[in-house]
Amino acid sequence: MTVLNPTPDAAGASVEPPSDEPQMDRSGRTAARRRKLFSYAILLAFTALYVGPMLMLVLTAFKSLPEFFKNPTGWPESFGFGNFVEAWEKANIARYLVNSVLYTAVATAICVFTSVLVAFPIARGYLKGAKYILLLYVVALFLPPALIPQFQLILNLGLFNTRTGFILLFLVNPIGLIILVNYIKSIPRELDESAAVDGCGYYRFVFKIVMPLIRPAIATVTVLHAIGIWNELVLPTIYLTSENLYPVTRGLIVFEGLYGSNWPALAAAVLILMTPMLVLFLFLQRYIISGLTAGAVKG
Amino acid sequence: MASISIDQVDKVYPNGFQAIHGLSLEVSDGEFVVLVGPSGCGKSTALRMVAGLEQITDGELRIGERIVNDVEPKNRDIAMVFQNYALYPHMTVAENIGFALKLAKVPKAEVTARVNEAAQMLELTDQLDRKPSQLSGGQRQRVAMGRAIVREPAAFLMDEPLSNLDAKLRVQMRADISRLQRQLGITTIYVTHDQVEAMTMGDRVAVLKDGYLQQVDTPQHLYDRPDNVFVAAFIGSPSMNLFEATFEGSGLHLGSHRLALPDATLERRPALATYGGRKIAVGIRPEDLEDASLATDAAEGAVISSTVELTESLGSEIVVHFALDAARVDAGNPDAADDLSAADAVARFDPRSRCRAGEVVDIAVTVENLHFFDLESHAAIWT
Repeated sequence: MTVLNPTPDAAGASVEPPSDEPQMDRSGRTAARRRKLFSYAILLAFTALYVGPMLMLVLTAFKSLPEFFKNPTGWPESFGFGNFVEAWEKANIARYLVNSVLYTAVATAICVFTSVLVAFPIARGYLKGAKYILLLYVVALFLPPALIPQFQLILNLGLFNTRTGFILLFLVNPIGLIILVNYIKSIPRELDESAAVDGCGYYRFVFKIVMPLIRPAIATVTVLHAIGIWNELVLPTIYLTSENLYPVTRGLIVFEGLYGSNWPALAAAVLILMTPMLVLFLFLQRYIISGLTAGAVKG
Repeated sequence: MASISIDQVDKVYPNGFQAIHGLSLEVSDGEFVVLVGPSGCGKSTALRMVAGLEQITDGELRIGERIVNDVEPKNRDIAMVFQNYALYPHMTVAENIGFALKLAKVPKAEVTARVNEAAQMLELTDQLDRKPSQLSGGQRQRVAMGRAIVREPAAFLMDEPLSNLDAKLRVQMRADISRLQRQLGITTIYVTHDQVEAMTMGDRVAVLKDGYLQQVDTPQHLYDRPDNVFVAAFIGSPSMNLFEATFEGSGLHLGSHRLALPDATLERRPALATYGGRKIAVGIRPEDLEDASLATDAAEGAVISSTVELTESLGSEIVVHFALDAARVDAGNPDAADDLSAADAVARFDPRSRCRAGEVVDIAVTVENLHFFDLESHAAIWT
């Protein structure tokens, strides 16, 4: 033993352990409770950070403009749907909604479909230099948006202010491709080989075997990409000049005044705008978590 | 059904690594051949080349009369069972079994009939509507078998299909696969690293090491007459004891022990005479070592004394580890965790033996069954 002369406290502890044990236990429990309270306080602060703006948006949507200016953060006096009706009419939502749905659905469908066809050979290494191709997509994630060359390209193709031109802007999604590649890597390669022996062709294998197995990743990419297109405000402002081609986001500008904005109507319009994506998210939610975490742990 | 002929086949990967060196193997129509060997010996590569999943670098592969070197896997008329079963997780058992038939555009009614027939054969009838995730390991393995059977192929190729099962289920499935193969009479190449599987299942067993075929023979012949040290050590459990010994006239010096060899042994191996005064490798199967007090027919000069280090009672026998003061011979099995410095020999004693760890016991050696190998080439010494 290295401790030849224990301190009186330590010696006491060794002589009468039963009397000290409950005390240590109590102090240990208090420390654990304190740590728990601290964790909850941090979680609560983060929740407030995320939920606060959402709550304010909802409350604002139910206020009149004078009421909003008088008490921007308070509870509304009554819950009427006047702002929603105004937003629906003034922002031309009924008309622009069709455009938004068209752009989002077509661009997302094409993007996801082509991404799967690209991701599969990259994930399997069936392409020469597959990892370098993937690297290009990763690099693309960090590049700033090439606004001017892209604009020149669309202009020279004669696709400026057209639906096709606008959809063309959203056909590639590097992060989506990376998610798909990683998810496909989790599918055993023996399935490819078994299918090859069974007489299953390449495309049939991709559509009949791979696609059903990567549903979580497809759902994740679909939601991420669709939300991106649906919420896009800058690109429609640049690429679409005809009012009949506007998506819903473009209609929101109507609430921006020269000297001030109609915040309650704008908040109502934003709530209307986010509803379809919220529904899509809730619908695909059960797949999304596994899509995002694929490959994180050994399955 | 068809025969499979592998003739001087090489496999060289793009990085220059040669996995298979001039492999030649004839598998007759309806025969069950097992490829066995340690990890990295090239057995799976060889099977995948037969399946068409790996390109053949050199040589010729025939299935039936057809050269199939450049034929697509789907056109080789083979069915393959994979180690992890490779079942499609989103399809039911029935869909999995019938998938290849559906691809071959077999009429729906016939697909159903053949799937049901295979399911009945494999006792899967009640599981047909289930997904693979709802099945046990053994059931999944049977579905994988069903998928192969239903196609009625010319040959079955099986790549360690039992390695994911627990020991008890493996024994049962081993018998089931053997029975099924005999019943269907389909030519089968089966890959395993488990020599017990190889010995119990194959009509013939081909032993591979480092991409070279070491020996191909019936299980019993492989056991009785191994061509080299590697095969001798690889086949049999516990492994054959392999020690350096000096051959002198009519006897062997095995460490400090001397074993007298009967004339019959020397007559059966005339080449042994040329090794007079030289060191050779001697192999003793554990069952050829017995507690001398129980061996009534022990020959004179065929008893060694040694200290027992460990005993493992298995009920039907006692596995006895004992020290032997002779240098051990490395059989070159990369999977064997042998410590060559510990001169440990293994014997299988009758369960009536009373030997205990730490005791010195007399051990009778059945010298008629000793195996002799050249110490440099590791080849068996016969004629």
